[in-house]
Amino acid sequence: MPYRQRYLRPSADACAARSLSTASVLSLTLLAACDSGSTAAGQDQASEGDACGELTDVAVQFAWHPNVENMATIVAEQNGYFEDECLDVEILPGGPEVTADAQIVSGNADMGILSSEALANAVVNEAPLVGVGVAYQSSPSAIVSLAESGIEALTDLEGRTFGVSQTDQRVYEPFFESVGVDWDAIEMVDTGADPAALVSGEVDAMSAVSANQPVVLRNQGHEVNEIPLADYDYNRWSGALVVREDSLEDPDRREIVMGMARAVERGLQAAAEDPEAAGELVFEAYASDLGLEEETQVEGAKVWADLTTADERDSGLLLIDQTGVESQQEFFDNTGVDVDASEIFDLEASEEAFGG
Amino acid sequence: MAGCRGSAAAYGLGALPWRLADQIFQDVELLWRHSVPTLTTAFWGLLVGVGVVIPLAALGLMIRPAEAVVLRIGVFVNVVPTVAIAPILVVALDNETGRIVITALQVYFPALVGILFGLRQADERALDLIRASGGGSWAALRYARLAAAVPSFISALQIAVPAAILGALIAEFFGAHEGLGSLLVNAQQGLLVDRTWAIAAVVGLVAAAGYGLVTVAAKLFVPWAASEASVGVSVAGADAKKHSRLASATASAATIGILLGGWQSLRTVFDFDPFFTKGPMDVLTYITQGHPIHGTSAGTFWAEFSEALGQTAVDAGVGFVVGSLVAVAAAVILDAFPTLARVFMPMAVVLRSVPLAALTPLIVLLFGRGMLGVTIVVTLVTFFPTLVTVMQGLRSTPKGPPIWCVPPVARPGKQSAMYDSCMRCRQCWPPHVWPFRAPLLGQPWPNGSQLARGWAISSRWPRRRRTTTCSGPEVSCSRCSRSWCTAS
Repeated sequence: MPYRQRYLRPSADACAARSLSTASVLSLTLLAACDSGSTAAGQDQASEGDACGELTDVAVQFAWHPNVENMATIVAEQNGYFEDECLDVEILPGGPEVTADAQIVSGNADMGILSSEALANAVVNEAPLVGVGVAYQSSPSAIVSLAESGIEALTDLEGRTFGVSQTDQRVYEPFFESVGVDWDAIEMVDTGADPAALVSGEVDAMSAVSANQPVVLRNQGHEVNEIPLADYDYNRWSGALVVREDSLEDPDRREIVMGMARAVERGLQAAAEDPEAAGELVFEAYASDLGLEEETQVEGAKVWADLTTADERDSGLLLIDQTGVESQQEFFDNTGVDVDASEIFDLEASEEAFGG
Repeated sequence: MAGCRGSAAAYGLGALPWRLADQIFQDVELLWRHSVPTLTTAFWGLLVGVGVVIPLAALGLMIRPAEAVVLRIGVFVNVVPTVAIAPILVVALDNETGRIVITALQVYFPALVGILFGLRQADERALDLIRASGGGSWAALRYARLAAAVPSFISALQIAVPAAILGALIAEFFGAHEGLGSLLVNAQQGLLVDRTWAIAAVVGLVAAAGYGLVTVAAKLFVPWAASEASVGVSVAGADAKKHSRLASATASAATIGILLGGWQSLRTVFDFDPFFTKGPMDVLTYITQGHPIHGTSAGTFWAEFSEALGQTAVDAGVGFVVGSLVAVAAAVILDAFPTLARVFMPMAVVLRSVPLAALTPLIVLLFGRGMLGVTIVVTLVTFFPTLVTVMQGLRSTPKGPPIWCVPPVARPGKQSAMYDSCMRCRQCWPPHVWPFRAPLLGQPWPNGSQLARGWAISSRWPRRRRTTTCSGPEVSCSRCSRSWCTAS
């Protein structure tokens, strides 16, 4: 096929691309051989400091591209907290179509970071998954609007358009009902998470994550109003560390999971203590490569840090306690997820990893 | 496009051309860095997609029943949405192989249709000659069919190359650290409007360049492929009479067997977790008895499904009709004015290759989320493949007056008196009609190339009817009292 060869010939760069791709295909076979899920059992346990022999390969699946939302894991990765636990971590990137739960179930990832809803929905559909820790035990969900829209209270939404993704609609419908806002008086538009809909005037307000769209909008010079759902005791957790149930059964694999959990905990503590540094670190390590802006990462890190339990605890930020489980049960009941919250979180494992 | 940009810019969300150029200039390093992985995936996806198809098509040609099976499986896999298959691919394969396979899935179908159609384009006289000289199907493939397949293979590649680039982009939505797709979603989420447009424009331009390369390479290496003289006058389906009803039933059974077996093997052979891999029996249970876990009834599912199906059918139908009409009209105009085609075709490729993920928000802004916006999105999807195949068909129409020797595709195996009357009667049918006969008579809907040939012929129809003196023998129809010249 002469034209294909020609396709590659025109520039030296194209040839570079070709050799790169050849290399990557060669590496496919190797990658297949050393699957990230194949965590070698019987690995020497770290007693103190750098006493590990060989590092165990582990993989963490994100739901989205690496950004400040997952700063705990990224800080731990960048600062070598995983190595301190004798682990060599690989971050598996998320994206709009990523099925993070399936990646954990299949064993491609040893741990995934999901919202508590995503975990609950997976468990409802019989995924053998369980949460051992939660980074953000305050809801990051907020209703955001441009200041010029004049929407300051929930009742101002009546008669206006509200952008909401399909997954969020299930959360917002009962929410409006519970706070006495007339749901039928609000015009819903399925906009997804794209803040452009707000700027274009397509919607007057939209469902948002307080560390994402509001930060981005402010960074672009828009004045925004936020109504956090947490102000109404609507507790939607995010950043849950999710593992396979059987990872906790085998003692060796349980220890590996515990090591991962401890590393993330250290990362979260560091990030909560100095969110600005965490934001910069995330920017340097991943976000700048994706063309994101440093300011939004740093500002986002501050918002995320506020959503951790750092203001109530000195350590064990990821610890799940009974009160927390009850708040999730209430949230699931409100939003029509038919699940027993005490079954999707393993409090014993959480205590082992983050307690004391 | 220029007009659209202007109005969208009024919202502050479109990109004015100079702002776009400025952004591309500023982001040149970033765009280059992310282009490399995307183009690498696109290249391998194209190679795998086309590479898998060629031997299958050749096999189908030599062992006739296999062709029906290959084509049926091809159609079936093509209509299963990527979002349904991809998670399993991503889980089963490592990250990069998964992306290549997802890309290949976007590529193989136009390639398969183009190659299968092309392989049947061989001149009957040439095939007769080979047969008479003692050649079998392998010799026919080697000496006649491969060469005859080149023109439609080229138009298949013209679709496949932009499809590969778009496919590589989509593949990155399933998890990638780098690539234009990752850059795009991050730019969108970060409300970096100019960059979103810069990425979209670059993807479109790169795809257009790929299309251009195929075109130029074809002109350089197989210049005869574009010439009309060597193109045979037979059409797809011409060999259909060789299929017996039994063979057809066997092919259907084999297709169903392979599809169901392959599907079930995901569970029984590859042992994927039932959480994300539902087998055929799971689906059967779900649609007949309801959700085994949630306890929702099958009736609930069917009610929701039919409502959604109705909506999709309307959207798809309207978009398909509009897209086809616009594409056919454009193809006829461009065929008549080749200079215009040279200007317009790259633009059409750019438009086709600008990721819908970036274009949809703009369309929504301009036309809303209602019927109009949806129609425009679907039209954009259908427009380009139709345009390319119709253009190719128009170009390959023989110059001389053809014999309308289309065997009765609808009645395989019945070569009796009815066959003869069909043969004669067909000559009385205006060629405008015949691409549409196949579906009406129970054959599969003709592919783009078949439609293209029909329209190609019909667009030149009046000229032929005016032919009064024939250089060769004349054929007349007993029913409609028209007569035609046959090629001498």
